Amino acid sequence: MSAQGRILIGAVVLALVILAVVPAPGLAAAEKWIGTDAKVERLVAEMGGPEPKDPFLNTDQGDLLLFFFALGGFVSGVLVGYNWNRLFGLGKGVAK
Amino acid sequence: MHIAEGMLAAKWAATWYGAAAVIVVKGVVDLQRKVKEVPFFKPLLGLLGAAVFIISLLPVPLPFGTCSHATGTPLAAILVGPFLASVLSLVALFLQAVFFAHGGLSTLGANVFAMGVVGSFVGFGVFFLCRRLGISLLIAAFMAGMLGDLGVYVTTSLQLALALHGEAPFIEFLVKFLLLFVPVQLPLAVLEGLVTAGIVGYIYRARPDILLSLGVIKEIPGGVGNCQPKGVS
Repeated sequence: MSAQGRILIGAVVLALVILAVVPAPGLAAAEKWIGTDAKVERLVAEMGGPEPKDPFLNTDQGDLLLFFFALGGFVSGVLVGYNWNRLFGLGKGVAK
Repeated sequence: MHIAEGMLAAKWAATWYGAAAVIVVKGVVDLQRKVKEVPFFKPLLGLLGAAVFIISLLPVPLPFGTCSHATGTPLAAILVGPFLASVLSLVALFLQAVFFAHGGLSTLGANVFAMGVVGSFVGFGVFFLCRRLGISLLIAAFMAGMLGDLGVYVTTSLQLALALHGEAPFIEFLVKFLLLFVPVQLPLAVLEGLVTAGIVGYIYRARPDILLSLGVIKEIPGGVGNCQPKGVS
């Protein structure tokens, strides 16, 4: 990729990061960084649609969800790293 | 977007299960064949499965104080095809529904159809259309990632509007959901396009033989000798 291309991609990523961290005017603290899933659920409720039910295992209690997110991130990271090394790594186990 | 548990009526949940199942079953059949045919397919699937799982779970902060997540399925579809990418999305979305309170088991079919099937087929279709038109590998991958991501959210809007419009005009509901999604999702779609192009570009430089074996590229620049990872003798 040319130097100009790299600069362009860097500028786009930087612009997205800056836009993301700029405080959104007019939003209460509780409204900031709310996910689209929650926004959709709210819109559906306004439309008179069904309320979401509890998931099969309700892990959204206390720090339980944080635990699962940390565990999921760790396991995914290990899997990505291990297989990345097998495919692109410097070791002897590179898959042909 | 994960449609939450209980938000779709039974008939719609069953419809999307059926639609997704057709593609996923074909993907499972392909999976068994390709694992035998292509030696590096298992590590590639492991890598892509974990990547789709984490990319589609990770809430990314976006402009104007909201969060959403990318999908990862266009990237997977470019590399292993849309049917297998749909299987990977089923695994990812099932784990998210069970352990992460993201989506639900009753809405799993709808979520797999949107993220797995549509995200994969749009990404795959855009990539190969761009390549047919002579567009460079990186730009084709960027377009695939971006449009695949947007395709997922248009599909989710359609699914929600179809299920919820009742006696009201369908188009009115569709526009409401699209207006909610599009401003949030556009910057994320650009980001997904950049990530997709970045990873495809990396593989092209590090292991072009992988792309050649998978049919993503037609030839390796400099010949087949130019496909050994750096540092491997």
